[in-house]
Amino acid sequence: MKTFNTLLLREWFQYRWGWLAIILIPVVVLLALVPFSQVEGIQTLAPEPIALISAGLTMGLVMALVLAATVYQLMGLPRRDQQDRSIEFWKSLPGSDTQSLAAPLLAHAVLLPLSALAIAMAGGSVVGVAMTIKELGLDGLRQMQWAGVGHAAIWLLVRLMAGLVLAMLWLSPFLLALMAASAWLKRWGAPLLMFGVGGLIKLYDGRLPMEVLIRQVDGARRSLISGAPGLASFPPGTSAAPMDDLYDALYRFPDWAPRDLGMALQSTLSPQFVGGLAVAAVCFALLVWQRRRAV
Amino acid sequence: MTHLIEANHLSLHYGRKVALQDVSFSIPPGRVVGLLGHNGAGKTSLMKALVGIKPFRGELKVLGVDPYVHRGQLLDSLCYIPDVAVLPRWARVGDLITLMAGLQPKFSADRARALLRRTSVGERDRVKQLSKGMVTQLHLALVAAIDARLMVLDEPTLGLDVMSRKSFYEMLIDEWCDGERSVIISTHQVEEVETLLSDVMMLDEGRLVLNISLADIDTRFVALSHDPEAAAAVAASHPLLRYRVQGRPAALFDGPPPEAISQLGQPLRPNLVDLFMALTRKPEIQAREA
Repeated sequence: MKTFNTLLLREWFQYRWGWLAIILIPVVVLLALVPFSQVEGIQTLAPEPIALISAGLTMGLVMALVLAATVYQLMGLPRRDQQDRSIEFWKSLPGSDTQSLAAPLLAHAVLLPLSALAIAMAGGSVVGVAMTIKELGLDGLRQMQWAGVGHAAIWLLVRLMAGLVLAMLWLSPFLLALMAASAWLKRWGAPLLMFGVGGLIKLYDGRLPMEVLIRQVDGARRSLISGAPGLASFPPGTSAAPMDDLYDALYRFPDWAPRDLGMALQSTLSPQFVGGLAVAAVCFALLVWQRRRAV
Repeated sequence: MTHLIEANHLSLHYGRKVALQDVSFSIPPGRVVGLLGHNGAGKTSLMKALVGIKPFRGELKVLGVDPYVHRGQLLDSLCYIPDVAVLPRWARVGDLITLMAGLQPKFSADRARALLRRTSVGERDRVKQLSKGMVTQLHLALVAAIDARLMVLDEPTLGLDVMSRKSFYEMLIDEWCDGERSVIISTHQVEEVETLLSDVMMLDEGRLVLNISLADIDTRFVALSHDPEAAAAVAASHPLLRYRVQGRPAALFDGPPPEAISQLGQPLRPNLVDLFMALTRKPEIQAREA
């Protein structure tokens, strides 16, 4: 375990400044834009929706950047030690190739997004408070129902963190297949795999494989929002959220989130999910094999 | 177990290309072994087999275990410098000490810091900011802080200036070799390591052509400096190598030369470079140059 933890520490040493920049810079930029911004899409200006919308936007932006960076990093991960010629140094130390690949995979695909989510939530809260002050002054903070917002925020964080891990597991066959392709075919690996699979599906009218792929992506979506009943639903076609429904959703969220998570967990008890994990395991074995041959 | 390394009929192939062929040797504790050979002779392949990176045929035990099967266990008690440029360039020296402490159970961070104080490398320095010589010193300080029984160095001073090479070997001998540990060094700088070595192994096209202690070289090989007039007679006695020493022709023999030839010149101490040339140069080139 000490070896594995040290390999995780290596990821922190190597990427800490990039990771911090990609998480903190958007928060700082959004905070700096608060004086020039305004909230739209709510019927009346109330502190809770202002804060929640601002925090949500901040989290969305941070997570979009982090997930894009994660995918980009993962593609280069299998060959990075070969490219900077440090692989012989790492191979001169105790520790298996499996650990050497599993540690960065865990760090980039799971720990980074989870940490980013927690930091983005904290940063989003700061942006939300700043936006509330900007729109309503300090009175807005006094009117804010802190207990309700705080309780909902904690459950939102728990729900998203658990959902993110599940979503990564649903997406793991895609990510690991792209990584394995990059490992074996270098920079052309990922595009070749994507165009190759896409071309084959087009050529042979592969409805079944396409359905399997779509179900896998849908599994990832349901990991984050399974759509459990009981949360307020907004009438279709409304451009501004009704305030009563918004408050209703806020207070119901702590009860709804565990039920929604339960549904997300339930959807993993399916051959589709297990099959995806099996594909991911095969791709991981290909990565280990490639690294073993690397020197 | 008496030997740190035992190899019997060791062979290594890259596809159809033969890198090592039927190599057998053993290395006891407390030796400093030079592994010499031309480019492509099989030195790096042998080193990679020794540290468990490359699979091989034949029998190989390093510290009592099969290095390919038990690589993780082996690397607890073996340290290896594969090449001067392999330290990760993004890392700070302090990061590497922390990582080594977590990855290598027998690594002493205090000892590494003590060794680094002998150099101009600081803990806050990044590897990419260091000169080639400093990176090599850093790498040696890191591996010398491992309480290992065997060190494998694959051309560790390649591309370094003479000062850096001297510093490297001084640190190696002063700080790591203790009479019980063994080192195996592959290098092209034969003259520079000659005084450090206790034994020498020479590879030529994947075959081990010499495995001898330096003490035994003087008794087995004889060099003879002679007048140019005696060249024909000396050549007729089939020496291993004909060369020049301080302008005078000389010849190197495996064993004492014939009595009649001995009287034609003065005996010399053969050095490693001449021996290396004699044993690894192609016979057709020798014949052409002769």
